[in-house]
Amino acid sequence: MIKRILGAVRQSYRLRRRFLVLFIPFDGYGEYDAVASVERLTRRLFPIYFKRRRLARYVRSFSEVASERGLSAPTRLVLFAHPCRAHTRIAINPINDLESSLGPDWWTHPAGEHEILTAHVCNGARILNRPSYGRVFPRWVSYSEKLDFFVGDPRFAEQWARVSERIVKATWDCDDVSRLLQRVRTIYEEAVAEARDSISFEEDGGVLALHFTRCYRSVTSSEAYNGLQAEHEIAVEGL
Amino acid sequence: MVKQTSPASLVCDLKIGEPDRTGIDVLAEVGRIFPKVHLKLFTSYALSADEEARLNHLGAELYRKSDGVEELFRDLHDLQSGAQFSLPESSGENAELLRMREVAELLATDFVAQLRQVKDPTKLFIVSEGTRFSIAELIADVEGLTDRGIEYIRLWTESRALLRRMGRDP
Repeated sequence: MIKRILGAVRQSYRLRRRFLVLFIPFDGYGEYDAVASVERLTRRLFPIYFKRRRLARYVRSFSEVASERGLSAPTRLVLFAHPCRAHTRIAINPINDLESSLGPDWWTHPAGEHEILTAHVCNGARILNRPSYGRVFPRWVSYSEKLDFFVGDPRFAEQWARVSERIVKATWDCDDVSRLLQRVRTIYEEAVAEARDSISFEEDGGVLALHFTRCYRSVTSSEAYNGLQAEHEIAVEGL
Repeated sequence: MVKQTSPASLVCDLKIGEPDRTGIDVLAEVGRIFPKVHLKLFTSYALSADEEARLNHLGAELYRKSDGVEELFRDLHDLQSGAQFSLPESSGENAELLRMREVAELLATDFVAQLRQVKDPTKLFIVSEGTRFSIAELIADVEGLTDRGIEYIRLWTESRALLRRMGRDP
């Protein structure tokens, strides 16, 4: 018991200089921007020592964000953002119509590669699996499909906010991506059941459960996704 | 349609939207005219003792929508692989497509019935990468078996399977 408490204290001390939750909304999606909704709804949900930042406009580099937030070591990052249209970079609101997306160079941190990234980004696995990102984010958990989001009833956004909160906490707790992937899958399993239990199909709870099912199905990691790619390549070679 | 496509099997639901005819009547009629066609009933409705006896008499197979989707697909695939039949290739491909479509239509009917329970389907929206569509549009997609409709039917069956794996009633 004492060992566990000491471990938690040590983890907490270590991560205070590295952990960041970053929200990058995109004005092009207007009032239907899921990232902006989740950012708003999770403001009071995280412990105060979880550093968070909303990046409303383009800034020069991640280092700028990191130093502003007092992050001096390789970071453990949770990102809520959108992909750019080509699914090669992360979308951001531009300044003077320039620089409307963030590529691997932008994310480079002077202290070295990032520790772990959880990217709540549609088709994030496609972006992060590119070799140029591998140098910056070697260990990640993200999604192999686009994600759907419900609007029109605050209860659905609240369910998403609760799920997001659990994912952020799981990223704080887990030191390796396979454990983190397992935790995130469990979070979505529970979310599917909760959506069905708490809101009837009549009130759209059924459709919300489908959205969480898609997340459960498509959530993957740097290890799992690369394994799948390798299997696919072997299968293609065998043809 | 059966005459034109020479299918290896015919899949029907119990309720087919006709007041005085059930899927078993359709299977019986097709079985009488085309005795080599494999007859399958795919339903979530409970069968009466009389209906079960009729199915047995026809030699038809029963698949439950709750847990028989995979089995049905597997059996249809086995039939298509030519183990029981040797249909001309082109008509075989058409027949498989038709069967798949029948299965999708049966699942769509059940899914749409659930979606229609939503109180105000025109005012609730789903957002997906910047595009927005209402539940009413989703219903039309599922009924029309568009790509988005089929994707949501797939999600619906997966969601049910996930809940069953967790020991919950979908």
